[in-house]
Amino acid sequence: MTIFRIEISKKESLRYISHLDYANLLQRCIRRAKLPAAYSEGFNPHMKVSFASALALGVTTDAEYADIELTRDMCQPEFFDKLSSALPEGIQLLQAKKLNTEHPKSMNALADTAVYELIMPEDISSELINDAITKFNAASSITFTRQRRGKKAQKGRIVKKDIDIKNYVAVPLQYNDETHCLLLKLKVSPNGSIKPIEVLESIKNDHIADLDIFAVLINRKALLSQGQPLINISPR
Amino acid sequence: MNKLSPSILQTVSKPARYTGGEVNAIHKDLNTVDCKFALSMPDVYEVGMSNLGLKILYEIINNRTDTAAERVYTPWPDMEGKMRENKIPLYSLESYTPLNEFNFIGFTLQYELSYTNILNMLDLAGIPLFANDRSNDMPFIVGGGPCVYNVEPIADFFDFFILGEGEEVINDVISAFIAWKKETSTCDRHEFLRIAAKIPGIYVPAFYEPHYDENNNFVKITPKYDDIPAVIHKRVLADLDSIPSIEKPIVPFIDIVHDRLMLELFRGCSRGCRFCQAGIIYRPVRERRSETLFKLAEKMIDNTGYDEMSLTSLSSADYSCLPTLIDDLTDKYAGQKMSFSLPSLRIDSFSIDIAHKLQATRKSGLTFAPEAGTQRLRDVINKGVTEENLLDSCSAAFKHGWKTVKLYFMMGLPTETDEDIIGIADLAQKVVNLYKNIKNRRDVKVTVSVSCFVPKPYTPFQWFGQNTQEEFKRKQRLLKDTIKDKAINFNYHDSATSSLEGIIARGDRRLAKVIYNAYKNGAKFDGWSEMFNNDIWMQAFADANIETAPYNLRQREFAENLPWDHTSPGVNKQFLINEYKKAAAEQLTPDCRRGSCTGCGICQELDVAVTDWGEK
Ligand code: SF4
Repeated sequence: MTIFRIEISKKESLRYISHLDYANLLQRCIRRAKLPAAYSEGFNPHMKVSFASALALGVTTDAEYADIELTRDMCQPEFFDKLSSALPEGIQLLQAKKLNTEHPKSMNALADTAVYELIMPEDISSELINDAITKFNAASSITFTRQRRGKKAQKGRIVKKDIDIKNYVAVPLQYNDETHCLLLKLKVSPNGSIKPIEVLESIKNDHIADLDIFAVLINRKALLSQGQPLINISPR
Repeated sequence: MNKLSPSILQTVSKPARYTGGEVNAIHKDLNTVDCKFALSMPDVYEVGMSNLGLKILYEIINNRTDTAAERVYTPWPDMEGKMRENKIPLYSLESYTPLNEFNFIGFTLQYELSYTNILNMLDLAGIPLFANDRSNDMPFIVGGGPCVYNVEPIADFFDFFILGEGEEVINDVISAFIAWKKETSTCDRHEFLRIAAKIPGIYVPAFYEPHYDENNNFVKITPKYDDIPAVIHKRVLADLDSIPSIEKPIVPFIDIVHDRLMLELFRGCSRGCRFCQAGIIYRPVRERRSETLFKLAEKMIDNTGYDEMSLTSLSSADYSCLPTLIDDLTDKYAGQKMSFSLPSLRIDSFSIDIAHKLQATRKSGLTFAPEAGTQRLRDVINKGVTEENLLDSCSAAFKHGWKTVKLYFMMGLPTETDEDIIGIADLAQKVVNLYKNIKNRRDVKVTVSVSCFVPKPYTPFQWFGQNTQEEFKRKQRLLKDTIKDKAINFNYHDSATSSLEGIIARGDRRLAKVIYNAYKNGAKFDGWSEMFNNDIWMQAFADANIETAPYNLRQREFAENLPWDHTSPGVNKQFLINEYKKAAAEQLTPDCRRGSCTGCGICQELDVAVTDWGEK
């Protein structure tokens, strides 16, 4: 058995695809590439592919990671070429590494920081943004009320929870006038994280009432573990 | 080209319905082709993308270098709202081209209750709804699919219709169009329609005049020109096996209704169920060779990466080479987690064995369609299935480990009595008891699903007066009260929807007003029970001053002309009359597939023949 860890992108043409659909798409690519994918046992066998993170619908990325388990060994160049040629527009295979273990550490547990680049809508001026992030960065805590649809006993209800956004922001927000981009480094941990859209919502609530948060183009540039892209981290 | 803003796409449900770019979608430069053809099903993306006919036409048209085919489906109301608010015209999924820039927009007409969506889509595209309001720079609006055998209710909205199988005739139409465009000095759309009307299988409704008598009854419909046929016959492929089929179907990003490959084994079904329109309009039965199918299957699997394939046909178990084909496929794909399925099962142990073989990994429920509750009524409808067949099949299924069975029935069939309704409950109970006897357990689930019968044109029951809504409801209550066992689950259809379907299915040209009124008052997605609003429709009939009963409830005379007589699948009317009489006499008519011709007349009229690769 062999496991490949891959770094792939999700570009503009796949922006509106959910994580589940993106995962299905990759699996069909693996089948088209005729890679000897491993499957689980049982009634409804599924392909053994595990992702580092679930990216929200509407977010693109230059850094998505997945582990693909194969039933037989193959060399890296063959794997890379076969998979690459089966990928549609919108996914690019950036790197592939054969892992030296059959039981890699889960990438979910490894990742500690996600870096996002946010292209702000044209109708929001640089002054407004600069002003907002200065205040955002200066605040020692920022309360945000997260609203989620309830599960189980609370099904059908909206469950509200107050969180402090600052707990999840790794470094102060940066804004680039020229590109009109906001750079966001968010902490991720198994105990929770915050979505970029929630940061935007909080900025809208507190500072820029006219901001259409859905008009912001969000791209995840990197997923890091101790400052290194996940693909460079030892799986053992 | 349209530009969709992220703030729109982020706030509608399932935005991938509107963004295209799927694997195997074909992108051509529209500036370099001579003809632009938009293909549509007037329903939401997930439904439209599941339609086999459109997939075929998409590839056939795109095989031409001079033409581009692109897709468009009905935006869900949330997206429609955003499009109207932001003045975004309806556009194609491949190039985001506004629909009014196409030369043709083809709609597949799968069910009557999708008609208001067509009007809504035309409006969203900025195209006049009535054909005679369209200017020369507008696309031709074309209809095809099973509803073309009575398109009178929507005739006013269409420039022309294509009757029958589209593979060849679509090329005839496109070639004629390109030739005309190069020659014409006027660009007058009427000029092209005159040319199109002479292509076999093309019906240009504006060239036919309906006549009514002083009591407002339909009398006849006649051509306005001498050089067009009084009766348009469907197109049919004489040699299905040699015609190109789907090789590179589009793989959608999101889950669609039939999210699997479809391998079409054969066309037509000649079992002769008397209620069934498909059983007439797709005749004669023509099979593909098993080698051809195997190659098609390989190509589709290689090109898509799908892990599921359905072996489709009206009655797949009837395919003469089914065991060979299945063995070949399962051998080739052993170890690749490929699953094959049959969409419909015949009620016999052969089918159960095949289903067992195929569903080794996925044991979902089995579905059977006895259609009627008593042997007498099954004889009336020529459903050649006995109670013994059903119980034998169920018993085989239970022994193989299935414990969920779905049974499909209809109510409101000709000659039906309460005894037949109670018979449905009895039959379901017998299936439950059978399980208990075989397994000595009670964990069986039998779902009884009962639809309201809608008489359709070109069936032996096209003269039959549909049951009233009250009658349907009474029968539903009766059945509900008769079913006692908790293991039986009873589902039934909304009688108001079936009633409306019954009116439009056998309607005439005057119903255009009603459909228009209903659309104007907000009817859309009428086939979706949560969206259907009967009040809007009743108001639409009242405003148009049109009574509904003569369309659906009235028993028609054999001698009267029917509003759909001129758009024909080639069947002999006398055959249908004889079948109706035999139904009343509870007499059976055998299958012509491997037996002798039973005289429906289609093969002779259209100069085609049954193709079956099995032993006669
Ligand atoms: S003409 Fe005869 S053989 Fe052909 S479909 Fe009709 S009944 Fe069958």
